[in-house]
Amino acid sequence: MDSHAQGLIFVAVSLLAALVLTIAPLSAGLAWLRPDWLMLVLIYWLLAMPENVGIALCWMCGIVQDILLGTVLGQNAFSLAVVAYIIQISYQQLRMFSLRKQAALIALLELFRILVDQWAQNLNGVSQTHWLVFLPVFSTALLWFFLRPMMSWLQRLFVAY
Amino acid sequence: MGGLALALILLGARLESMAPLRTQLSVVAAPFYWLADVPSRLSAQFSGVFSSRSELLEENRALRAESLILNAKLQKYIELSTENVRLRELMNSAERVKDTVVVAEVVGVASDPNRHMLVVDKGSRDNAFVGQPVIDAKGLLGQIVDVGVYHSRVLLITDSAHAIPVRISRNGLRAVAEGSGRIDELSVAHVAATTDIQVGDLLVSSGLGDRFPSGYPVGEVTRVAIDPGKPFAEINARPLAELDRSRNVLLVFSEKIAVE
Repeated sequence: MDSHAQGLIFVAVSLLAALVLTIAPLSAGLAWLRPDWLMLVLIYWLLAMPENVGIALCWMCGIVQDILLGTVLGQNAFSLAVVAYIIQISYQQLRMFSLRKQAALIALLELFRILVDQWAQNLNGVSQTHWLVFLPVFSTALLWFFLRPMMSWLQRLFVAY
Repeated sequence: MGGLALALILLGARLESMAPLRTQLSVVAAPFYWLADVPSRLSAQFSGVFSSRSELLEENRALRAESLILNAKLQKYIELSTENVRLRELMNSAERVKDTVVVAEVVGVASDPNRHMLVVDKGSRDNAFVGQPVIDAKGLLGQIVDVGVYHSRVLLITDSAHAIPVRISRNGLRAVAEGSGRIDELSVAHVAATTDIQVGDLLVSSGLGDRFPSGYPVGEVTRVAIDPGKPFAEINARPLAELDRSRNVLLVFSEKIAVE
């Protein structure tokens, strides 16, 4: 198997794992902190393999997330497509950013995702929200410090160049 | 891409024709729910394998005792139900409702802690339908809002988008119990401050609105606050069903039986 195919398989496996972690049951308190696994993994691949992972893949992952979560069909597809676009037009600079700068950008993108989520749910009649829904902004940004080194280590381990 | 997704968001909630598409798409979700449920299934299996003989004997004894008590209660229930039918005949009630239930297993919970939803392992394949009432051993749990082929999504009575018509079993007073967004609280809306309602009153489903069958316990009133400045009393109730603990739930199929 050539390294390209290996890379694509690793992308698929990591995305599947992110989707399972998105719906994995957590206790009531921890659930507020659940980081946005799918967005982090997609951003990693948008930066690492921009020629293979693009807006279309992010859009499809968003649709799958909508189906899994039972949210308004298209809300995660929309926000992930926008995130992918922002990353894609500037990935060459973003790659050079320090982890801390990248995490700050991720916090902003996650805030955007949460706002889209709240807006779409309001369309569907959910009126009461708690300010705790914004906690994933911090947990997602913090997770990036661990996820990026871990993913690049795994990538070197499984994908031979 | 973004435009397509936006169109989906805006149209999805309004177009009826989107519902079958969702049902078909939900097949994608089945393997994910299966995977996410693996840890809890494994732990259940392990505890089954490693429980000791004395524990099992103890559990067996407790279950036998419970079965005896339930059977004794059942004798009374048969008597009461025939009496009920006789009384309904006297009142010329046209129909009564017979409920059958199907056991479903909870395979997932909403990952958004702001929404109170469960995913159960019965779907359109098992004749589950949108609007179907769901109960557990203690009381009413919620209703199905989204049916897939293998799974359905249950909206719990405490979700902030849910409301259920109830009646106070002590005096038959009608009210509406709304979800508060907290898993252990319902709020009873628009009850006049002069109404006879007390802490400890049992709320049962009233059957109005043709969604939930009548007579299932919903909650127990925990707080009645009457503020003279407000037109309505502030009333809270605690749901009786074990919303955050039930592993097995019951889907209710009601069939109307005409009484001669």
